[in-house]
Amino acid sequence: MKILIAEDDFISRTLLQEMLSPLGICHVAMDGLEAMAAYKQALEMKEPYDLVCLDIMMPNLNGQEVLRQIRDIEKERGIWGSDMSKIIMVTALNDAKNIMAALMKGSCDAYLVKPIDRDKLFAEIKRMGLVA
Amino acid sequence: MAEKLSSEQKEIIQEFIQECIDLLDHLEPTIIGFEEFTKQGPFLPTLESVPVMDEVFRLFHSVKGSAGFLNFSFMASTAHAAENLLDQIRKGQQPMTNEHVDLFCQTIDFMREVLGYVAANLNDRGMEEPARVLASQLQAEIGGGSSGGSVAGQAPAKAPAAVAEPVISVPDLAITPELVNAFLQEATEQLQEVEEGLLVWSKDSENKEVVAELFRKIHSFKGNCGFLGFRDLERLSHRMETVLDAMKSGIAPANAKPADALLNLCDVLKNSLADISQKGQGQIDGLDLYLELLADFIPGGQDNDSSVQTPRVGEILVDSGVITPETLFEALDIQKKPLGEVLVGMGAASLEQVDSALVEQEKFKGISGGEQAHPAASLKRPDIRVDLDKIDTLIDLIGEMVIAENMLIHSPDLAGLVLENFSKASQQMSKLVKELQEVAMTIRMIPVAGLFNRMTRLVHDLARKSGKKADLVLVGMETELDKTVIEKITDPLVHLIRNSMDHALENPEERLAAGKKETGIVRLAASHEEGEVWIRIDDDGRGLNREKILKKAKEKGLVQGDGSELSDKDVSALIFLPGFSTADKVTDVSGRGVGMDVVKQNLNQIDGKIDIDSKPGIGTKIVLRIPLTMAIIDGMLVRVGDVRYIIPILSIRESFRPAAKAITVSPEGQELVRVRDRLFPVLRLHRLHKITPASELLDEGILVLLENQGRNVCLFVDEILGQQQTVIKGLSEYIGKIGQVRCVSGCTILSDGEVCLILEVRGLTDIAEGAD
Repeated sequence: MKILIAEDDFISRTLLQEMLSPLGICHVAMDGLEAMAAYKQALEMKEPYDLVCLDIMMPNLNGQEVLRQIRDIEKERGIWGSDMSKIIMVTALNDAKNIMAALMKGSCDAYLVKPIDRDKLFAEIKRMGLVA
Repeated sequence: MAEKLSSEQKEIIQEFIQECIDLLDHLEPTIIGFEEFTKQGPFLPTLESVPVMDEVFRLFHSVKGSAGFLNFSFMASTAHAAENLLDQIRKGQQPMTNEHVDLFCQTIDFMREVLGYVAANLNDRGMEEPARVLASQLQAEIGGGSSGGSVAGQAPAKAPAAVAEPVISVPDLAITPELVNAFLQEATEQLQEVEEGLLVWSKDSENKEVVAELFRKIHSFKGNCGFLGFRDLERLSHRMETVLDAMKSGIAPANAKPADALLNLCDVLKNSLADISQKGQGQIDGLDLYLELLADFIPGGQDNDSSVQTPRVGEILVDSGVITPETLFEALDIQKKPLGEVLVGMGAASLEQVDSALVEQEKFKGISGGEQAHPAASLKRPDIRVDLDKIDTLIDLIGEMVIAENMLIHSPDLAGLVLENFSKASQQMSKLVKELQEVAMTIRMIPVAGLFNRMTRLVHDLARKSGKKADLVLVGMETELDKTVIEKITDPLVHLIRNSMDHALENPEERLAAGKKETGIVRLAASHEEGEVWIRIDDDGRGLNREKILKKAKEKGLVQGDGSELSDKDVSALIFLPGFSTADKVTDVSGRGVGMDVVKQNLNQIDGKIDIDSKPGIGTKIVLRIPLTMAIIDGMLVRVGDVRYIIPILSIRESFRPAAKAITVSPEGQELVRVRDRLFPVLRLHRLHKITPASELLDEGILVLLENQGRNVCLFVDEILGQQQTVIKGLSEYIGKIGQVRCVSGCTILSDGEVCLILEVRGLTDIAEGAD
């Protein structure tokens, strides 16, 4: 499995990376722009990420925007249904607007509120059918 | 759980409900649009349909994710199942059938229900049963993938079970008057089509296509009724649908000929719609009886209607052989009186017979009482609905306030005084009042998008009906108009679009022969122009036929002489005269000769104007020019003799004192003034309104150059007094009618309390035009 972690905070990023590396290759991005670049490159190489973890409050391009852009690209290219990247928002923001913007408008697959809970994270990944 | 939720969590749920409703509202038409795909039988995804499916897929996906996040497991599981089914269809693993579309529609309905429940209880635990039923139906489709051939066999078994959802409280969505109006309009059209279909069917009872078409029509009609909570309408149309379904799949009793009965019921539905338009609840008297009558056409007599059936007075009478079903229909037509009374009145039954039947009915009522009473969960929306009257009052009051403010600030008592603080304060006040006005005006404004979108449907239907091909192009959807204005122009717009489709656009063959594209284009555009809103309806059809119109006008005595002196524009205007219609044959679409007349009347009511411009073989352009509801305009105050007038600033291009040599007189005696190498006609306001001016010499007064739609006139006045905010007050009918006051659109009250007329620039330019 190929995983992209976009997170500007060092501790959160490392934590996620350690939790997820047993599942597959983890790439990390420091901000939204890097995340988009990584996502597009993976798409060009026909090896898109299976799972994308996005923080919302990131410099340059925030996570909501990254989510929207990824979904737009998918829409444009007709990537669809089970082929869409699974996206988990991992963020400290727990206000209604952000949550619903990500879930309803952005069609993210899960929304986790920090602090990161390993069990919850894996429960979500399991629910998405990425691991047995 | 409800009590444990923090306010943040509640807020998230509120947000979820709001987002969900928006998404559902947005996508429901799309899903209903799937029916188009499946019309020709099971359907495999095509290039055009894929993006549409993607959009719906996203909806299910988003709902699944959000509901999962909020632990609404039943909602999430249903959305998940729907998502999977759509995934299969989109991947071409199984074709989409009518049942699938129905299931998706049900899923949408279910989601709305859950949202209603969630709004009330903050969880979805009460929705287990319907969720299970729906999810299992979806799962069944995912698993099996019903093959196209067995569809007909399955439909009757499945449809009733699916449709007869338990009479759960349908979420009480904010049902706005617009929604109801839109519903009424659409429902009336649907009924009209159902009627037409039934008429065809009654002549050609073997025609299965008509039945299928009817079934679809009634189905969507039923859906609309159910959505708006008109229970009686829904139940009756549901039963009609069941009958049609039975006929469609050939399982109805062999000799059943329900067409006439259904036609009668269409009238009943229509009456009920009329009741709704009168702010009623659309209740149908004798509903149970109608339902019962239709049961004869359904195998097994009944579809599974969830409520306990109370035997009906009429039924009992029919059973005991006192009256025939035909007599009943007659009786029910009268409707206004209780059925028993009517029957007695008709002499079809005696008073005693009816009384005993009533007693019998009471007994059953006692048994089945207390069955209903479902508490309706209501959705809370963050906006509030306000009575239009209140808004109107508010706007009126603000208008009065502007006048009062003017009177205060320009009070004659203050003349000549130097009041520094007062003028500061009054300036502040003027600014606030102006802002207040602007805000108040926007309250009533809604975008024309809703209105325009309805026309898409109209064009689509008309194109199908007439066999013509047409594209509707919509422009300027975001243009806002006053709500009442939108209501007023709905009918005219429908008429005009119908006319364009029926008269203007040619058949595909005719178009090809004329060297045009096969598909005609009707363009509907809204924009702000010259302080008005313009709604343009352009088509690229055959244009108006001058000879035909003139011939007709002469026949009807609308034109004297041979009419050759009339300009094209004047000829075009003839079609707005009452009773004018050139269509060789009256079609069901248009041509009854009332349409254009009504268009004009409705527009007059809102002070709107209509312009028509047509080029034979190239097309027709119609412009509805609607004043913004600005009951308050910027005006220039001018004086002629001792009379003052307001001229709308928007129409003024410039004002100047002419040099004597700039003035020429044409051979007909028309005065013209030269402004930068262009000649403009001069109109003397004092002659028009018979006033003694300060001076008759043009170079001693002021000329105000006015423009309206590219036509100009120079108005001669004595002097310009100033600029001011003007609250328009209508002229009384009386003054308007006798035609004594020409070129006046209204009046206003000046700061000194005097009444002052507001000039209508269009009328002025018209006069100048005539004088040319």
